[in-house]
Amino acid sequence: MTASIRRMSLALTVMLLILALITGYWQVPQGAALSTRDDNPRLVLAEQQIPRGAILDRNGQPLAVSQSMSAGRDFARQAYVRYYPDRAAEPVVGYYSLRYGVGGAEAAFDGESRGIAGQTRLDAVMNKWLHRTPPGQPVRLTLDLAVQRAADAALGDRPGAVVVLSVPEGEVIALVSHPNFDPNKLDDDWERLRAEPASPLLNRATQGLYQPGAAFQTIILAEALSSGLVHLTDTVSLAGSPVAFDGATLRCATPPAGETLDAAFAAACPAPFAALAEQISTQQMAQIMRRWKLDVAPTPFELPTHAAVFASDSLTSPVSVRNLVLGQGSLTLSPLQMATIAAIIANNGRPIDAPHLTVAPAPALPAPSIMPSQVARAIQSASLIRDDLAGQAALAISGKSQIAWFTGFAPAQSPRWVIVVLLENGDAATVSTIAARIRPKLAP
Amino acid sequence: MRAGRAHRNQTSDTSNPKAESTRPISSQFAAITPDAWRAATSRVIERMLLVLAALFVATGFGLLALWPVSRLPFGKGLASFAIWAISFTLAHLVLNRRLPNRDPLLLPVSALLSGWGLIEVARLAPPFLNRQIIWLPISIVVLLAVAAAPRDLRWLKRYRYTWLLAGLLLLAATLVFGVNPSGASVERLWLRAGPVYLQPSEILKLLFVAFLSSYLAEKRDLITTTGPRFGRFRLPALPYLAPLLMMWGLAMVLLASQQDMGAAVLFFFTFLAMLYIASGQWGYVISGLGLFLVGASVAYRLFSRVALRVDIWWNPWADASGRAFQIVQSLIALGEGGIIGQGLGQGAPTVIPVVHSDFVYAAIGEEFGLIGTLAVIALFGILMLRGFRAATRARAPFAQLLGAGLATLIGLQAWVIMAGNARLIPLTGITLPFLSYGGSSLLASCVAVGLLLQISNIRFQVPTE
Repeated sequence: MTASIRRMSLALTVMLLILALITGYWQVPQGAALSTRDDNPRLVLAEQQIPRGAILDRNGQPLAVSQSMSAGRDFARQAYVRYYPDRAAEPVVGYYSLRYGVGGAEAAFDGESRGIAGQTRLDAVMNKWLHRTPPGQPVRLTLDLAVQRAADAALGDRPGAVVVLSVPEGEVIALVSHPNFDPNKLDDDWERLRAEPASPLLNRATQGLYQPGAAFQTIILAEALSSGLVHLTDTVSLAGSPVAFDGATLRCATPPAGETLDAAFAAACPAPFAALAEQISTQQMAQIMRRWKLDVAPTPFELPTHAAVFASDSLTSPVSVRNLVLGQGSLTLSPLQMATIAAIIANNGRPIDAPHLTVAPAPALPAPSIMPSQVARAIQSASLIRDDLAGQAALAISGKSQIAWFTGFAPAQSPRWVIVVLLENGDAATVSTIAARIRPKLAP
Repeated sequence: MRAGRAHRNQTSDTSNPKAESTRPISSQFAAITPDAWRAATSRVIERMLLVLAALFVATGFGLLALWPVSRLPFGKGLASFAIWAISFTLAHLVLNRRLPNRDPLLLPVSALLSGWGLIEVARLAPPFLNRQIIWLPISIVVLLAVAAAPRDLRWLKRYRYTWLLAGLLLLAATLVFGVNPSGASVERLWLRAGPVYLQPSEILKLLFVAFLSSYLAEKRDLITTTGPRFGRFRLPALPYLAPLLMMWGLAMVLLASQQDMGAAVLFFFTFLAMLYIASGQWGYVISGLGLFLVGASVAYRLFSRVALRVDIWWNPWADASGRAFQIVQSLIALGEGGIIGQGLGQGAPTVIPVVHSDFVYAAIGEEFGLIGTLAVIALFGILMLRGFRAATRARAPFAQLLGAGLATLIGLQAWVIMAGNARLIPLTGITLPFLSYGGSSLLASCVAVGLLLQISNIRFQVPTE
């Protein structure tokens, strides 16, 4: 019987060794794959224990805060829930969701919020082993909540976007996209938001690409004035006449106040620019696009952006030049891009610093001017002025809908801010009114 | 009954100290018999190992008590450790007197495993700690009673039918009076007496091994030598095998009607192992395995529960958030542990449903890492191998079979549930001896160790009376 007992003990020992091998297989080579699975509840539990740093506006107003709550089950550790006091800030602040991840500034400054930005490798290893959660660092944005709220309220429930930048620092003072959503309820609303035809998850200010239409006149006018092709005082006959384009009709945004070029520009009339297009060759047009840096990708922004990089080889014929001059060509722009263009005029012909959400040191060398400062001042003075807000309302055609732009700056003398308003399906009066309602919040 | 006599505890065997002190020094050394020397060294080894186990258990409770997250009050941690320490100190002292030549590893390994089990209950299911703590001294007293029982386990051997039928009756009683302590209407495997819940299948499996040992010790020669012969092969003698098969069949039918799959599988393979040990013939194992495969495939088609268990074992990933949630979470817990583990109280093994009874192995894997799981495997390996060692050294066939049977039972039970946790085999709901939450399980494990201690108490010198 001793022999059979020995054999039985050997068999069971081998079984235990196989068990040791399979356990080792799950624990070591498969360990990382298993613990990063979506259905590992520890990921959520660990995430809840992070005291994320608050996101603040430029005056210290909270835009996103982590609130402590008592945890369930055996996790008696602190658990935190993210709270957004003001839905108006959502297009900038974004969201933080255990289920859907992070978006907006929450994504851009995730490292700071988690307290792991600037952490050394040793810190990271020690924190992991000791199960320490580093406290998150607060992030102060350039955003001004008062301006953001005003812009949000002024836009109302119309689909569109507002961008306010400081000149010449390029700080984002307000950035609104409508429709937006309540980031506090994202987990419940996600499927509905995704399905909604108005796409509230799209940030129209940074990711929406629109025909510039008559808003593109600023560039053409600056180039024509710089090269001496035209003067603002030139008389243009029939400035207000409509221009046929691709089966549609392009019209002035407002009735022109006179028969001069500056009046036509202020009213965003297409006719004088359609005539001007005939004097611009394809090479010259390509050169203009290069000078305004529209043929290269824009400087990265903290939030995700879309930009249609213009391909100069698409300029093949006078018709393509004309389409481009009328803002109906192959170039589309986001409101944020439009704001940087308008800011060049407001900054007397010199490009401002690339737009940014947190205070950044100014670049050592300011960008070179792309036009004489008198030209920029002349365009400033050609703009319509209302309540210390100068600007131009302009229209564009996109398919069957009419896009309305407002590109302006304030104060009218020596501008400190640019304001860009975009409405899908809008008119000149509405965009101007929206901009005028934001202006008083820009101090002084 | 020569073997039986050699087995008996002979504490009176040591020389009279008064007479000894009058002798010269040289003859004092000469008076130390090999048995006495062995007893002294194994006593020291056992004590040292118990101290090591105490260090581990004290550290575990200390960590849980000092770490605010675990919510174990300091006093309760201290009391738990004290009850554990007193129980095993008592066991050590009593066994020194009653079984001086026992195996020195069995008690420390059991102590470490049961202390670790208490730590895991405190960690995974704090409300159940009180209940488990009460079971420990009870189980140790029963262990000592069994280990120190006189007359060479004849009480167990002689009344085998009585014991087994009593066990079967208890099990049958669960069909009528069965309850589930969690209040569920399924798996009513427990009997209730006041505040105490008893799971008869835990007791039955020990009685079943004892019955098999007793029966086979008497009849194994008849079974293997008197059957009809076909050329070189001899079939087992049915008249002698029949009572075995009947008893075994009765147990299987009862377990099947309870749908206690884990226990049924355990009974089946323990039975097979003991037939092999008694006969030394592979034929039993091979035909038994064949029978198992046939039975399993029939059960797969007949019982949706069996089919479900097998399906989620074969491909858990397809339904990881549904029916395979437990096993997938068990594997994730193992993966989270890595080599060194998250640390006691630092992981989140409680996300696995019923972790404290069915998934203690995975919980240890998460918080103690591969080091911990290998340690658990090694501890069960040691317990099992020392059991087998005691069996091979025993002289009486009954003691040999009982020792080997109990070693098989412990090893197999631990393996079946650990392998279920690690998805080596389909999951069955049996307890991990010593480590899982459950009073009946702890009691049964302690009885098994008590019997092994008794069997391991071998003296080389045949006492001269």
